[in-house]
Amino acid sequence: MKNYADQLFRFLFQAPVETSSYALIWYGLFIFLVAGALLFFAANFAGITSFVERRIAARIQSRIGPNVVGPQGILQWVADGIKLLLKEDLIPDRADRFLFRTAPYFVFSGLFTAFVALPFGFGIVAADLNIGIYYIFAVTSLVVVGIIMGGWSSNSKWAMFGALRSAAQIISYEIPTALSLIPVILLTGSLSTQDIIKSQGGMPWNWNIFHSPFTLACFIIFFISALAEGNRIPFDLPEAESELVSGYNTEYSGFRFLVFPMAEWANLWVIGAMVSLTYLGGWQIPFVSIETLSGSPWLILLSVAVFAGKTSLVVFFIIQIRWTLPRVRVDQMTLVCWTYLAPVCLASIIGTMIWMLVFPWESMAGFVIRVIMSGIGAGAVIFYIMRIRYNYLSGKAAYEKMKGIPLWYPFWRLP
Amino acid sequence: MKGNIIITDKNTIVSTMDDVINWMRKSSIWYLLFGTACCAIELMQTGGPRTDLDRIGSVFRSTPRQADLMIVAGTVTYKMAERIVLLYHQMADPKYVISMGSCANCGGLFQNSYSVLKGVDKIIPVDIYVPGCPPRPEALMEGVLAIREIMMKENYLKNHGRRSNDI
Amino acid sequence: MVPVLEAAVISYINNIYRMFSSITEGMAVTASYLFRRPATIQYPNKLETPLEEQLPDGYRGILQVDTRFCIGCRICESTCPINCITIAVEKDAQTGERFLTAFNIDISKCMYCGLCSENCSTSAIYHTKLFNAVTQDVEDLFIRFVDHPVVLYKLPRESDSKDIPKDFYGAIVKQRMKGQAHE
Repeated sequence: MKNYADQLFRFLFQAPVETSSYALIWYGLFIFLVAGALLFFAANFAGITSFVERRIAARIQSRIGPNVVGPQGILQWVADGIKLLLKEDLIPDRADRFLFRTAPYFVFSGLFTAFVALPFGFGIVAADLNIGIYYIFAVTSLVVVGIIMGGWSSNSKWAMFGALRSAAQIISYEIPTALSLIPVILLTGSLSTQDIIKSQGGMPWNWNIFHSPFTLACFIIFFISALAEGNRIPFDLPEAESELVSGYNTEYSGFRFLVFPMAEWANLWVIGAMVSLTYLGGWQIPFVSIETLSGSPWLILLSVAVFAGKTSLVVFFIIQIRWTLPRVRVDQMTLVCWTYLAPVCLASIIGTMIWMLVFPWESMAGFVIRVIMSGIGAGAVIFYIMRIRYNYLSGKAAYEKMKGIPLWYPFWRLP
Repeated sequence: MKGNIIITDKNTIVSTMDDVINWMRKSSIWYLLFGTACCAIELMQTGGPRTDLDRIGSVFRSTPRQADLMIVAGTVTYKMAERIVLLYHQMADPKYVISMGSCANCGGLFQNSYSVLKGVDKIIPVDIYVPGCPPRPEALMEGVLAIREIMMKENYLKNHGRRSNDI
Repeated sequence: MVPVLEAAVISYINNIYRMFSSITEGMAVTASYLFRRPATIQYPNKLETPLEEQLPDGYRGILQVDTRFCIGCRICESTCPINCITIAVEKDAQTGERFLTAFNIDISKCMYCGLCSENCSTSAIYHTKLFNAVTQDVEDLFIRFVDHPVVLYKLPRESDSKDIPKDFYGAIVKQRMKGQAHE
């Protein structure tokens, strides 16, 4: 982002920043501008995703979802937010008032600082840190501090159980999350988010996911453990509504409660962006090399669109998983982590190392294997689509015979 | 909505603000997931596919701290009455109550029982009564729509969400 | 030792396979619902016909009394398991004519069992298809069907109770509730 700041200064005042005496003020101003833009993006993304998730959930459950508030219910998230702002801010009588008030800020800052290192397109990243991935892991684990503080200070047994579960879950899933990204770091030789994307290509056989069976396994492990880090179903244990009343945020009301779901939905973008940048090729456009990409502003905009599209697909998939799978038990959660994810992950790291020596990335054999792997991936997607078609057709005849109206009502058709 | 506009000029902005705030509030009524008897089945069905309370922005919250609306669904025994009062006090202002079904309205079928409260309005202030045994999901939907109308008539900025029927 | 280890490895891999196959199947089912027609009827905004017309014929909605056809037999009052019907019949001392002076139903108490309407010989009391009587005051639900004393109906011998007109949309109840709300 420093390049953009320099260029903007030169464009506005016709002078280089380095010689100017206002350089510090200008950079400070620019930092605030970028931070504001990121916050604006994250908050709006969280809100709109909450609305989109409710619509998707409704269609999965054969309902329609919010469609009264505003045109097609698009203002639903604004109404929810403002209503929560207007609610009474309750603090339980015997709560630890200081911790109770500060806990939402930890959750908030833990997730929103992760946006600093996340790329949005070619060269569009708030800070291209050379330890980007490591930084994102470090700050997102701050969330668990906020959750434990909130659960502990509420002085309520449900919140306490939720916080303890959250501690067990997030800390144990840190290990497979971090381990499953090591193959990517091995392949790239860098921790910077931009370098990881630059080392991949536009077409699926240039993505890290299809490098070898081991990276495919690591991709799946990373996806599963990212779900657990983000407290999404099927790892919704800290907020289990059917067991603990509302988990760690049981005693929160009004705006302080609003921060928790907002952070959860903003976390969806973080998960989606992490998955797509590490394994799915990030903002790489097919048939466009990085040299031509850096020259044209339109192609840079296209790269932003590609990245947003991939991220949205992952987010949609996460939402669909949430409304498909039941919640796992606590023992199953830890069992999955320690007997399946972590060992497979360790084996995959060693496997990737050997694979890199036997079939180097540039060699012909490596290329053929990547194409075969992406063919397998495409086959899996086609199999999934055929299963969807089979399930749709299995209920079609009976419905149309009973109701006399066509069953076909796709989700893009608005009620 | 019209009632708010017919006031003196200097309060016009306040009334418009009130309308906006009330519109936001009425657009997201979160009800407490809580049922005492068989009416709770209809309550679940109201959130289900056919009637779909989510359409008007109403979702359930399982904790009273985040709920706006308490739907007393079913027979209230004396033992449960204490819990209902506790839950009512735990809810954050502004809060509303729907009494759903004959048993919650006045004791209904169990009116002569030794252990049943004769109407939930004896212990908490009730805004809307929905008759039925149990009411259809659509009848409960009408109850929520009536709560929306009550909200639109309120003067939120003046009262800061405090309501006269607090106990 | 070796077969045990082999079985453990097989079950380990089998578990992973089962996880993937079951999740794929479940996801395919939910994804197919994105293309199916939702079951929501969009009450009350976008109904093609009022919901009362869509309800089945045997639906037991709010009770309604057509006092013109009441013969004053009080069977409904006595069969009601929870005594939500109260009837008062007075006799004129001179003419010997009997009048219906009160016919009150506590809708808030009624349990919609249908015993009263089944036993009514003239179908003066029957269940409408009206289901919505939402109110802010529980007193509104105590419906008085008699304002002025009504002469009791005499059932013609050759007539059948099927001749009695029934209004399933509850015009009388609606009017009564509205009238009481303005008192």
